[in-house]
Amino acid sequence: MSANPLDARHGLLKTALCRCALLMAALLLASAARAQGHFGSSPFVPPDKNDITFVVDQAPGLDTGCTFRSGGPLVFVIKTTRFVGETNADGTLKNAAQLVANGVISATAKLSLPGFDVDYDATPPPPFNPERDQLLFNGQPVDFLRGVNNAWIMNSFEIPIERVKFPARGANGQLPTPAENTIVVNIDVANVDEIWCTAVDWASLTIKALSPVILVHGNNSAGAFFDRQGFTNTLRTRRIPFDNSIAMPTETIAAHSARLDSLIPDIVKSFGADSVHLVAHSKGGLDSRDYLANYQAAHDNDFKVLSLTTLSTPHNGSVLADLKVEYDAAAAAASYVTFVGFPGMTKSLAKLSSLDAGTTNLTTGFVAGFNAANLPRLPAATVFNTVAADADTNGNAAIDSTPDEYADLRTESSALANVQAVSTALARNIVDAMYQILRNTTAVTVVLTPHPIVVAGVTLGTVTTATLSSVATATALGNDTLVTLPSGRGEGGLAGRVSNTFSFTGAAGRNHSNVANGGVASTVLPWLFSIERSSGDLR
Amino acid sequence: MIAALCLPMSACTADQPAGVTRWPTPAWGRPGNLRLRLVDGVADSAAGAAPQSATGALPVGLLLRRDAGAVYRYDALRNTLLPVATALWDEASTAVADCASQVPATAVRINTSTGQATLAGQVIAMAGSDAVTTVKSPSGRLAVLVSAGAPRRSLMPLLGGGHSGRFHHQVLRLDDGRPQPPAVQLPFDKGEAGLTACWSADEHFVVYANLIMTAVVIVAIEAEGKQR
Repeated sequence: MSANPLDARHGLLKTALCRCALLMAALLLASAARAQGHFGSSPFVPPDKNDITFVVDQAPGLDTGCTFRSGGPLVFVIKTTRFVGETNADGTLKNAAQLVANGVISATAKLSLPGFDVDYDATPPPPFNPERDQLLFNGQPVDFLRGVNNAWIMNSFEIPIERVKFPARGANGQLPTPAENTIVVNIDVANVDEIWCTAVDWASLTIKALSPVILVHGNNSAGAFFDRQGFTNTLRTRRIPFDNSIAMPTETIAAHSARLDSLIPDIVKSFGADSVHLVAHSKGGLDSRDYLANYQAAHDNDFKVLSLTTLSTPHNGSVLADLKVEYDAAAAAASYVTFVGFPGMTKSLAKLSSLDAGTTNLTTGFVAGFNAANLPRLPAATVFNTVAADADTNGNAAIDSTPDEYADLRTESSALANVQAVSTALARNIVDAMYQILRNTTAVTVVLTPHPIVVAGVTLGTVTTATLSSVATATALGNDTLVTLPSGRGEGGLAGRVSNTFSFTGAAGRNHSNVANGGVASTVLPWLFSIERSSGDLR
Repeated sequence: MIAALCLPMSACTADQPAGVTRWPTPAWGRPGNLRLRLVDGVADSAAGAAPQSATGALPVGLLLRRDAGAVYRYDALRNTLLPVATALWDEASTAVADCASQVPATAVRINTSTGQATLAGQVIAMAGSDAVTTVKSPSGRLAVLVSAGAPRRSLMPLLGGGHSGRFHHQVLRLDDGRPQPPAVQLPFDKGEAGLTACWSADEHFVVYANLIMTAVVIVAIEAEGKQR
């Protein structure tokens, strides 16, 4: 309903009547609308709020009844609660163009609002003009509301993303402080006299944005590993929201999954997101799988894990862990330990390395048991991706110092770096021994042999010796010096659940450290975008 | 009885009460899942155990088992650990503590860069310089905090790190973070790089095993986490 512009002499009276009539109508409609689950009088129900749809349903500028210019403007605020990238002081995105170009966020945000009685196409006689209700978003004009006489019409506008204000990331465990986007409707701006009125029921702002990526480190490591190896550099360059703050002490898979249960929800909350991707290196992949199987369901109402991408995770365990465990067990039970079918450095390697709590969970036997319990419990909706690698970049079936095929391993082991400083040959031999063991050994067997000590026909006791033997692989297995290609790919260990896999081999090969470098991130990211487009926030 | 109060940020030194012994467990000798169950009085009497403690308030001992294998019986009064028949375990009816299912006390945050442990933002005084791990008690009221010396550097990147023996046990009350003294130095070999910590179901014992499970150390706990 609108005032009759022909009756200018009685314009004020008509206006007043209209206001009363509309107010009554609005109140009646409003009571009906509340029953539909929202405040206001339009037949349009606002969308559900989530991490990409921000809704305002109650505000002084909403549900006003049909309001003339003198009663306006209509002003309301949509609060965005999702961190999508660094912001300027005013809340606008610092790198909006780059975020859009990289596909991290949509170029526009969709502003939707039901407008009432917008006589946009009316043809009043001169000097009157049709209704023009100007919409401003954060102080900048967007367009005019569209509609028809005496009815609610849904209006939608595309707001350039650089004009939308977003919050900074919240502190750990706390939601971001919402950013306020102010919408103003200047009523009837095309006429000198106020002759048209309008109302807005609610408003929503919808974006598309890549879910944040949470990085989970491997054994004896910390989140800074991803900085050192370059994975985070690629994420930063591409403006991907991520977190690599997780840093756990060296513990078992079960202990780490319990820790992830206390860490991941707080990190997700700080982004204001309801979905995330996990990217995990080495044992962190098993930790993450255990978390997904045993803890994630309790958080599903708050957030989903869209994907888990593992970088050289030993999904079938690692024979190197077998070797260390078997050596320590044999050394405890026997006076002397010999090795059969292993490289010459093996005994030194076994003696010089230590057995930590994480390593005991990386044996092929332990992981086989883990897989049996874990696989049936993995969430069906989570997508699994794997990355595997072979450190032999020049294809000579050995690890070399020229080309330096283990430089990034030294970055992660000061002890190895120290050895290298003294003797490059020794350091290379150590790493090559690891490579050869994984390449040629599928299992380790132990035989304990008691030897009676007989003196002058009298048995004084026994000395036990242990023999550790290599059970040869059917074919030589490429590996990154800690995890073989099949184990990293999840063949067997994650059978049937891997959606995307890539093996870095040949000249593009990687060792167990630089399997988390920037180039690997570039391989992983398209998987995450694809998942987002099919089931995430880029749909 | 509190031997020495060990408050946050105060000096906290390790003690070694009598009875904290490193017991060899040659029948195990490789990693596995440790399980504990309190000694069943009826079954135990058949095994010739010492009588119940005078107050009757404390359990007389524990059965310890690695996976489904050999069983050891710890007699708290005689301070002995001896292999026993697996039937003793199988026939017992006491609650089983499954050590693999005991989780860290995640409220205690371990900073892997500094080695510090904090609870509600407050630094916890430790006997060792580096926090190694925590394990929450079954009731959730207590936690053991294991500390050690500096981390061990391994030649194998990302594999085989841990710490260099000299582990210390201390119990925290999780409601206020107050350590329950005394801290106890665990008599493992210096060569041990890690250990398993496990609460008995009644929270009267914390059992530590080295990772290869060739030895255990048992610390008896009185009410509210104090060592006996």
